[in-house]
Amino acid sequence: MSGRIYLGELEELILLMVALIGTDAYGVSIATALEEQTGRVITISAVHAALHRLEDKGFVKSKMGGASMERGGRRKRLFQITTYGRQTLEEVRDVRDLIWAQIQNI
Amino acid sequence: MVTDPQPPRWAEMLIERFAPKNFAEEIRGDLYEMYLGDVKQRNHRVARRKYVWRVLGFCTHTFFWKQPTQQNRYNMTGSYFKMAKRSLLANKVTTTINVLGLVIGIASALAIISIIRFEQSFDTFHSDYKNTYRMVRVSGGDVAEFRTGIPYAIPPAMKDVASIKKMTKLEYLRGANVDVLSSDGKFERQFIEEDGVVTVEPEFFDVIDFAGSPIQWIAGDAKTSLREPSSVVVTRAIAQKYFGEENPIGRTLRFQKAYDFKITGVIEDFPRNTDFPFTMLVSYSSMPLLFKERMSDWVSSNDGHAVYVVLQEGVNVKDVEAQIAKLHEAKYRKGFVKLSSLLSSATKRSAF
Repeated sequence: MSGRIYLGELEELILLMVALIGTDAYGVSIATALEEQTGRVITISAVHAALHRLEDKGFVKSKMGGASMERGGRRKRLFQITTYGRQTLEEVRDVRDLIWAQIQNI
Repeated sequence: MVTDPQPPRWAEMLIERFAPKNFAEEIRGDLYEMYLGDVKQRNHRVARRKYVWRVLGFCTHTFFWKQPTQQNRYNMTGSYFKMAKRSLLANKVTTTINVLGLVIGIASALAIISIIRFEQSFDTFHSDYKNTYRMVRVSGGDVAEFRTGIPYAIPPAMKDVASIKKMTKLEYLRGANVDVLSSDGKFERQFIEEDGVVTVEPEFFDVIDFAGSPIQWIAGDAKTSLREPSSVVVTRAIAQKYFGEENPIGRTLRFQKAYDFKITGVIEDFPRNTDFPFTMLVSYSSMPLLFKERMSDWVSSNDGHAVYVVLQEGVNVKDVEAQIAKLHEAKYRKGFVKLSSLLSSATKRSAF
């Protein structure tokens, strides 16, 4: 793994949502969860764009899920966090915790 | 939900057509799911609008336009352009000559096309222009050598020709010396008009109706303004030139220092692509004042005196010509010049 991780702020949030939702993480459910958890409303196309970037970087993997009537018979792409993605999230959190600890020590 | 709710078809097609192949299905699925949610929460119209908005959102993202990578592996378009640019820059003189030649060629082609379009558009905006004919006069059988003038007594005698639906006559006077008189009848200013002066009947605007062109009456109308003798209708340009911002209606113009005509109407300037480039329209009922006894003349004619007819749909032009010729012969027996009327489709291109 390269030493430097690049994970944007929105990407990090969306990656967190993928991890939070677990088995049914796809465009709409991620957008809904994001709104519930953070109050942020973002457009569906931005969610898709971020998910594609995350997949390119190897933080998530995806497969096509089952079709349902409420989607007009179209399948969803289900996202799942990869081990590398999870490690990255933890690393980001650890770095922040470390910094926070120092701030409180001042 | 009375009708089966559907998102806008064109927006769906946009995704289908342009989205990367492997993503189109999930994108449309997500959009449809959100669309149904909107329909449930709000209404059909709001949902459709939001759908379009989201589709446009997708169009702003770069991933939407990227095709799967292996398709791009053999795409050389970029390097073709690069090669073209380099070889053009390598031969500057040849490039200049070739590009200039191409530019001139294309420019001339466009110019020729627009000229032809302009020429072909002449008087095609009248509602019945395909059945509208101009009467001309030929001596003997040589149709190519026609004269435009029709003797004054002929049109009134043609009233009984059944296949003529509408008829109008006009006398193109061309230029005139026009004096503008003040409201109390004193000489104010003099203008010389080189062309555009004509006498027309109210029926002129039934035959040559300019239906498809933006021409319209600013003051007055065809039926009333051109009925009385000594009336004149001027175009907007003339009204502005003579009176500026003043109201021209009711003012008097003196033509050729002799004939006083009262302005009874103002009409929009005539379009450029017409064979009727009129600026001042004098009522035809003024003709006896101008031409006196010649009005009943069957022999002499004035080349400015033109007659236009609209024929019934599907009438044989030859039959109408024969009828008019017979009419003419019955009235005119002196026999030194034999006139035979000919109808030609001369609303186009037969300039005054």
